[in-house]
Amino acid sequence: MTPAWEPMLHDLATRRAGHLRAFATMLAGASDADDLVQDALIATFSRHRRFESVAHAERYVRRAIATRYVDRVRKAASERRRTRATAPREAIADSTAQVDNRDAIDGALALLAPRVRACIVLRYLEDLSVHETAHALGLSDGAVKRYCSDGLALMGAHLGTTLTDHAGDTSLVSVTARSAR
Amino acid sequence: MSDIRDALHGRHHELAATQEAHRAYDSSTLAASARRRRRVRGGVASAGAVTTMAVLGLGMWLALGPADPTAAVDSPPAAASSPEPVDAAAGSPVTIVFIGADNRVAEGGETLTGESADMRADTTVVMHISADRGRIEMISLPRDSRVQVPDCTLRDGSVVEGSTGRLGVAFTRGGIEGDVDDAATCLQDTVRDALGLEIDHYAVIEFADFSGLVDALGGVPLCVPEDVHAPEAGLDLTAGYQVLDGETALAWARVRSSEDPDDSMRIARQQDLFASMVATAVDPDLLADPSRSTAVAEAVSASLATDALLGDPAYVRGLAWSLKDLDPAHLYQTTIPWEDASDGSGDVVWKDAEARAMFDAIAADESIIPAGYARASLEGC
Repeated sequence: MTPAWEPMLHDLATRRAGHLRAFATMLAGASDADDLVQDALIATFSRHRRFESVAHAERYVRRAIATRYVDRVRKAASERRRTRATAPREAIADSTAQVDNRDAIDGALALLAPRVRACIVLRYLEDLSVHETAHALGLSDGAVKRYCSDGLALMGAHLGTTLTDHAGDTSLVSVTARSAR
Repeated sequence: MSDIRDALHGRHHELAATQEAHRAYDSSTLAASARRRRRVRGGVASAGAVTTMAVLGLGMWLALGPADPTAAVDSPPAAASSPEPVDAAAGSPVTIVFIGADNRVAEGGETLTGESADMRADTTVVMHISADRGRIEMISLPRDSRVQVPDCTLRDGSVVEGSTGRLGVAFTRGGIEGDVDDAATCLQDTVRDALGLEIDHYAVIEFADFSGLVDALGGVPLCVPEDVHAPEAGLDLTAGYQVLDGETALAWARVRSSEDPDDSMRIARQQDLFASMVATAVDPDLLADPSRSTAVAEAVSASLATDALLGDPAYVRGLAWSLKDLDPAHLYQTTIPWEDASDGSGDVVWKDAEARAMFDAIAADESIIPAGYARASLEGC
């Protein structure tokens, strides 16, 4: 039988809180992370969903955090233009993300436009496929590939290295095979 | 050269280690908020579950008497003694957008990190019930239809910007906050704008729940046009007219084929399943059997969401009652006329003139059923 939702929520809000907050921080920076996590937890458990396990529920919460982050940014009029920009070269540093710039990765992530950042985090931190990332963010597969490639280039330039996507080859192959279906 | 995954995972690990030392969230406050939202929606949700069956079953409620399926379990069927339900929409056509949502793991050979819980509309059917209650017309809209998705206002007041996109995107985008009602409303608005047709109601059913529903119906009779052997989908069928159980019917409706690049055969199978479920549900034998009707009601209660009016059991019973004399030959299913966008996008575009003619007729409550139409039946398969 499906476990009751409240113990799951409790587990996620306590034992898994650090991981969820860390994930939200990767997306939105530390200042917005708490809000994102709490909103996502409430939204996830306010519907009558059936989760098989805490891990299942956590995956759902993480997806909700990512979509909320993108949505929140999209709502902010001042940032709308940047959300639409397809050329990350023109993206300016994310002034809302109060990340610790001493940390190179945070600094590089902060350079990215929100959707690009979401694509990078879902794709390479959450290890979602191109298709799953597209699905989670309401983008096309092609847009995800482009954002990921642009984002990698921009982060690489900031970090002074060439960032690669070693494990990406396999997913790309199967995505290609699928789109040819 | 360094791997992006190592870099991100390393930083995430650091963050989690430091964040781990921070306080936990106050789970009792979060739970209270979640409960509050559940209550607000609860009325619609539980009534919606009841209703879903009526959307599928239409006539089935007649046998149930009490609108609440749990009540129906405990009390004998009261249809005979109840006053005749009143069709609140009598004299008006009723248009419902029916959304089959598929939340399962994507097909294909990829290793998935987990089940994707995002909302995806796999099947969209516009169901039109004529003002005289003499016809039900069901028009499928391909998921990849290119449409203008309008700005969608969510229940929390936020607005998701519109754009040109595939029909399925409207559902995913409206559901960005994880709210199936938002998702359905966004799709409903998209369909309304695209077809120029007022849509009265929406109903969302999860595909996974079809299987239990089909079993509760006692299986559905379907015409399998050719042998299907697809072990990976768990299918091994010989051509012909047969009654499929839930699992098989679901697999049959879902299976994709390399010979079906544009998905049209799959859409046709899903239409067949849907129509057959409706036809089975209005079957008089089923309606007359309270235990079977109740089983169907229970199977349906595992399902999902509708708008408020369609969530009102009295409204639904009235509507169902009004359809008791429907001639099965007037249960019509078709697909909106469409063609490939032919621009490499894989999108589908509707044939303007034909689609417009079809939906102008619907809007005017005129029949679109071709002369001599008959649903595939025992004889016709």
